[in-house]
Amino acid sequence: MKEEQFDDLWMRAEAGRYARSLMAEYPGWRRRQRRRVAAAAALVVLAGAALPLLNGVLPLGGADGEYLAAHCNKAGIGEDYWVDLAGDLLAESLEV
Amino acid sequence: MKKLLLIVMLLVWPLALLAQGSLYKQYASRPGLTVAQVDGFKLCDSVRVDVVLLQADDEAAWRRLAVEFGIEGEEGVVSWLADTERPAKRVGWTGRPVLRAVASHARRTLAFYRLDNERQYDALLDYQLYRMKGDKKNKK
Repeated sequence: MKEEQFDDLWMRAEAGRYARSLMAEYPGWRRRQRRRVAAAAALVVLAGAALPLLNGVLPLGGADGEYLAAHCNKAGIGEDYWVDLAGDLLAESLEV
Repeated sequence: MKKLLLIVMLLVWPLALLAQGSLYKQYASRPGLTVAQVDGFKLCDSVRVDVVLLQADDEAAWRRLAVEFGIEGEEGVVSWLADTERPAKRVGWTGRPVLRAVASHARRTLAFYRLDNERQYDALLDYQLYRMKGDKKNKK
């Protein structure tokens, strides 16, 4: 079966009417369907993983845009605490 | 299907690691330390820097940090320019990426602000002056 023929079958199967008969008469249908679903899933996962890398250009987080993202090795301390501390330490370092 | 999943995992793994700075990773697993990373800390409308903070949970952990960074015996707040790979090493500004290190004995905290260029360096100084003036005004 050529790719164009498969695409045609795919479109028709997507419409729902012929899905069962197509699967029965063409054993490669399930395999190709799985490939397409896996490729779409991989795209979603990659997009999610790439989001942290876009922090430098997209304002993704942070109250009032004071910071883009924050994380800590221990739970229970709010992000604002660290952001305030980073600002306070800079101010204190100039005070004599 | 399995091969595809394996390829995706191999692609995602380094991306996830890149999101954490090396300084954070270096200290995050050390006992007695609370380590935080603030990405894109805003200095002014157009300039941001990444900050890593090390906070000692007790006096013993702070003494260890102080010895490691050569600030034992000093008081108050200490500041220096540090090498990005070896933050205990003092360096001068040459236009190459450096860390502005600030250590506060009272807060038992070390903060490292990564400066990749002169614009960030200038913005950091401006921020310090702005904050200092603001803090003094608030105290009056």
